[in-house]
Amino acid sequence: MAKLEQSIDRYAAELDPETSFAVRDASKIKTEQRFDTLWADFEDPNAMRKLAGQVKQHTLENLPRYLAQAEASFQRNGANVHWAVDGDEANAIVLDIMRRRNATKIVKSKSMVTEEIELLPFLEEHGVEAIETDLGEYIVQIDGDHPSHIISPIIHKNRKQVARSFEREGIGEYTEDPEELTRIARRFLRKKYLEADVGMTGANFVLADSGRIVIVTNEGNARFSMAATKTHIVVVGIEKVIPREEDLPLYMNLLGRSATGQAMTVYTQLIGGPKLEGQEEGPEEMHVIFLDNGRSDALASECREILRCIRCGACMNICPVYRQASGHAYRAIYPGPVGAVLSPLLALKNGGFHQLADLPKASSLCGACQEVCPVDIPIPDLLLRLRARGKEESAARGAIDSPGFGMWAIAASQPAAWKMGLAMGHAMNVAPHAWLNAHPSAKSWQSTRDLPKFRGGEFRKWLNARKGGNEK
Amino acid sequence: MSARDTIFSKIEAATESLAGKTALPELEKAKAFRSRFVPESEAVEELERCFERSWTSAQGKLVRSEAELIELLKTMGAKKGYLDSSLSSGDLTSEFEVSSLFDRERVDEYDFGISRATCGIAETGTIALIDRDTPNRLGALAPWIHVAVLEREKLRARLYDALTDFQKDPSVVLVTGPSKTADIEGLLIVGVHGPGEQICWLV
Repeated sequence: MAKLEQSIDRYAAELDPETSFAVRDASKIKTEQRFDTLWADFEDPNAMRKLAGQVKQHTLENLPRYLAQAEASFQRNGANVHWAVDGDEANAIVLDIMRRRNATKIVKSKSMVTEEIELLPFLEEHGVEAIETDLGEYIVQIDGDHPSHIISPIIHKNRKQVARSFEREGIGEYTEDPEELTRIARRFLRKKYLEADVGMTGANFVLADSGRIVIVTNEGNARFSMAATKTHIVVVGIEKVIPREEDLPLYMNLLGRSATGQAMTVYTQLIGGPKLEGQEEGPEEMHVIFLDNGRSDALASECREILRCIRCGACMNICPVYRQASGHAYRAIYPGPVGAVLSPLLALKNGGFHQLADLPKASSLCGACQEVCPVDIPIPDLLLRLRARGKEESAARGAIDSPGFGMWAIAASQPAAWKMGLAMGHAMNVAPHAWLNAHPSAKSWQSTRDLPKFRGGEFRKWLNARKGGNEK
Repeated sequence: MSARDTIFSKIEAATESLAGKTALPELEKAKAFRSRFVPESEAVEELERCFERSWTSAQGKLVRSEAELIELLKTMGAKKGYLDSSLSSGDLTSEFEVSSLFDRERVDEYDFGISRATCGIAETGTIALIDRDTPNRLGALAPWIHVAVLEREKLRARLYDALTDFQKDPSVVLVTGPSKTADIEGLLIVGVHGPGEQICWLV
């Protein structure tokens, strides 16, 4: 069997320098902006993060009750509620709604969950014209690419690449002016909104008591799709619910600042049902599809805290591994520290957890991700729990590059062998260190570090002397 | 078993042993976190002062009279616009080509749209547009310039204080400045899908 490689290391090593710098710079700036706003605006952001985490933790631990409440609230507001066990079911529900409405065109706002279930490719296969409307996501779509960051999808592209894509697709003349590129997209996409039958969104939050979804955007694309189309379909993970409308301001204090350093994102929409009777524009029908797709398994696991995530991206922006490797290195929809936990848990197809069991190892456990998390998810602890699960389930990808502990186990369980090892430790002080490089993990360790002088073997002497009553 | 039953049986099993583990915190705890932009009192002058500071720092523009608005629209080169029929037009009609109908076939022919804001939030410099007060969602969104008419008395201190204004409206849009993106190389560009100029006319 071919030796498995640590894919993230390899991806980072092969990443072209332009992308690498772009990702690192953008991540650093976002991290600083977050810090500047959150810590300047509030006295104790850490206490606020913990409280926000507690509200979500409570909701998750009582999820059946809150989900049932949300369902009843939506129905009271005149919205239709659907349930989908996995992505295939959710996609089929969307297509079914479209067929009943004789709809052939759909405009979609930025939503990670629809990336997760690969909704757009599915709809296109079934003859639906489906367009991403977030500027970054639209560029990702025409390039046949994937977003590499949950907030900044084209963090890995520059203006020249965008200009070439627009030129290639015949959307506009080549220009390296980002403002002009944005205008081109504005003109092109508003035609699409006005032609579309269905507006599709995700949801940042679901308010259980009032039966509303909350959508947060800067560009106004969700707003436009909900002004121009006649049907609104929402696909949302079952973990997005919060109990009370009055819980929302706490999260609004945290979300924009954590994501982009904004005290308030430009548009925050609270949508609860189809448009009012007298309203001239807007959807006549609202459908909310609650998606499980592995979330109930994550809820049953020891890593359920990850379901608190409100998708701000702060953990990836600060993560030294993400900054080096970029989002695509994670081979999954959710990158960065949150992705290293969530993606293996949500992986249902293609080998499931085992296929992504190396992701929890892509961390130095420095703890920065938890420190910036607006809902205080103990990501380093969860990474350790998933490493343990990888070991328990003998996941091959979970053991990549792990140094062998066989020799150590023999020595540690036999006092004579251990003592001999100590003697050998002294021998290492005179032996050439190149000898150690026979073992690959020792070699990679030594390539960036110097082995310190061995000073061990004195502890037993000290302990024996102490036992004899000598306190020295 | 239906998808709903499958999901509920799984999440019920997953949470069975967790009931009562983490309490739902009292709302007062969350409300106690006050940013440095929260108004010091509920007095209209204080709310207006805070609103203006936050609104303009989010790149919104503020006018206090019709004359001021007309002047600003002229400097922006506006000629034609949409005006919500419930708003009296006055001098605007003589200065610009104003229509109280918004034609979705000609969205780009309107330079501005004028509609009502339901309330304003002083802390964050935010206005709320809801279906009940906005007869045409596109008219308040598609033109390059949007003017929201906001009554001083409708200024609230924080989002908490504005929630009751939303009532049971199906569409609440909180607007904090003009439409923005930073998708291309992290550079801030104003006016993506929504208005590139967001004006509040405080009356």
